[in-house]
Amino acid sequence: MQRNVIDLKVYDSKDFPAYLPKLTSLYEDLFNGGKGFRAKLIWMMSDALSLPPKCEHLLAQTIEFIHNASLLHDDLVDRSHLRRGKTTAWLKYTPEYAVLAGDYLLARVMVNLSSHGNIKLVQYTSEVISDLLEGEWLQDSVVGDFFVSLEQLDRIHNLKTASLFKWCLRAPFIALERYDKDLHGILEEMGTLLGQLFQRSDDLLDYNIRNYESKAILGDLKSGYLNSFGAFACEGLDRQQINHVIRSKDLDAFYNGIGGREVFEQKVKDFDMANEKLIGLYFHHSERLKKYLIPSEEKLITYLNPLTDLLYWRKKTSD
Amino acid sequence: MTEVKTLSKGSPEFESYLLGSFSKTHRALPIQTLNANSSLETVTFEIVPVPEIKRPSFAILISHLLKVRAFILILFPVYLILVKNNADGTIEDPMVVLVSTFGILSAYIAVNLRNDYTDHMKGLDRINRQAGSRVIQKGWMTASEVRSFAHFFVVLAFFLAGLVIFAFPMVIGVVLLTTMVGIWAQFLKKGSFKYHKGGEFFVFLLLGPLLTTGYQISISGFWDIESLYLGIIWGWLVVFLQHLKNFEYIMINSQAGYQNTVTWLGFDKTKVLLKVWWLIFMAMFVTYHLRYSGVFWTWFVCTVLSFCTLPFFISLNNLRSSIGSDLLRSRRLGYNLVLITLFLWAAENIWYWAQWQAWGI
Repeated sequence: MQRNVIDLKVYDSKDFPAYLPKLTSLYEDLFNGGKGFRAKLIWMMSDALSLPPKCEHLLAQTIEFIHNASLLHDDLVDRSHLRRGKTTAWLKYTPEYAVLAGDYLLARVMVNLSSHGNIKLVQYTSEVISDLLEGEWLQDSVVGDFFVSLEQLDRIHNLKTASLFKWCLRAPFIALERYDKDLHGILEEMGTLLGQLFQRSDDLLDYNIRNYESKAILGDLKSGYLNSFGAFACEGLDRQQINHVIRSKDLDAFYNGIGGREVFEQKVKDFDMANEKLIGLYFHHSERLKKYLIPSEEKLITYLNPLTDLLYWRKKTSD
Repeated sequence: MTEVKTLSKGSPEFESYLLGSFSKTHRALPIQTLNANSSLETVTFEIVPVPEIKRPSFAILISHLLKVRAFILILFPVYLILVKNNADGTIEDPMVVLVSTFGILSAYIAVNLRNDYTDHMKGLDRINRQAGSRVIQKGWMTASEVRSFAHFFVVLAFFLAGLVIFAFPMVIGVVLLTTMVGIWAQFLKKGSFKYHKGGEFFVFLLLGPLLTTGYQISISGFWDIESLYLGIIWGWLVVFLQHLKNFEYIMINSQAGYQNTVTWLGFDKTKVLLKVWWLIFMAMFVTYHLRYSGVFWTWFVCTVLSFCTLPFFISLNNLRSSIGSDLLRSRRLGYNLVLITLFLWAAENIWYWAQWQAWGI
């Protein structure tokens, strides 16, 4: 079944008050540039589970609102100047508007979900928003800390990134009032792994690994943040070596900092190998998931399995 | 990928996989734990044939299993009491000293092994990959083997205590009291004392005044105020180390629902707790020296400790994350403070011993 993400249309200016100055243009800038991957994930889940269209739209809108609210706040916290090739909201408008616009999206999420009437969905979404904010708080607390370990970063990413992926997998089942705890346990594990793989792949882009979208190089490092691959590559380096790495203005300087290009490439291989184990775990859980699906829902597995290729290896698949 | 199996708490095989008793030819290494410490807990195991597990040498395995580095928590107060009683001329029988020392060590090893076993079964050591001896999680031994070792050392400790009671019947009171405190602490309704706020009080008792007075009774037949005071100071210091460790793991413990004083107070108040706790320790340490030691050592120790305390306090003041490397640095500085204290205390004892030797005492 071919569907275009544009059909989902998560943002409509008519859903927001007309009397709030600049809100509409801020949101149009924000929503027009996005790939809407999380909304696409909701579409896959909805298609496999035969979710009613109204419910599908609600879930897709909810997750994109939460995600984009976090981007508005993130850009201000990080003092980023660009988002999706455009000037960030806090810079183009004001920091106050960026914060309020993010808060407003989260408030709209609560309004929309509570109107829907599924209290467990409201409760779960609130928990996820809470996790997201905790992750953002902790991430800000480690800016400038170049000795942070990969395990510590994983804890932050589990709150900040993985929580939204978990929501995408679990919310459709909750919307259908399917609350089996073993089923949700599996979805939780799969969501955690997807989020971890996505974050690690995103972090590799910073070092120009599988950087097909030509994302800025060493952006995280220059912002004072050692991402997951950076932490992995720098493990075992002494303070002097780390200081050298921190001052890297380009990739060549980074290679020199960690011991040379060959060392860097070996680190990438080792990192990929570690993540292949996570991918293996993901497939293990997707096999377990089959037991909880009725025959008409089993195409969910065919939707979910290729996600590791897409999210980690950045292989393009047809929509 | 090697064979992987996920089990939930409700599964009949769950406990046998955690214990390691499900198979004689394979080990189940926990690689992922979800919802630890709850009825929804699920654990994903990697099933590895026993020959494929890379075990270290026997010496390294034993040193990990028995946490040999932590023996200093027992051996140092034992050393201080021994030195004191030797100086006072109150040691009755060197053989009893040996038996008492081994008895205490056996009890300490038993508690540590039991903690390793409990922390693995409850999930604490599975979600925190730095905690515990890692002997079970790495597949070097099964949880049921560790539990059996704990039982062995408990029996050994009681046997040795029995021999000491034969020599000094008075010690039975301390042994019974310690046993009662230990059992109560370990088997509280909601889980052992480690998972309760204020549980550190049991650590204070067991590794503090009960240890020093009990040991003194076992080697000399009596106890005095000095050994009690020593025990209070030592117990306080051990709890300081416990708070430091819990502070390092505040996020993991909070998320998993494990309670202790640090998770109850929160990040910011714990920074204050650590400073106040250390200052109280220093005050007790200095007053102990004023009462039982010379003026020179009192002021020397006080000056050195004050100087060394500054970097620790500064690191705590500057700490702004419950998850970064700065937290590890603060913990290391705290540990170094304790090591410096022990070094000074040992140096003082050696200095006095040398003086007595020189004076022919």
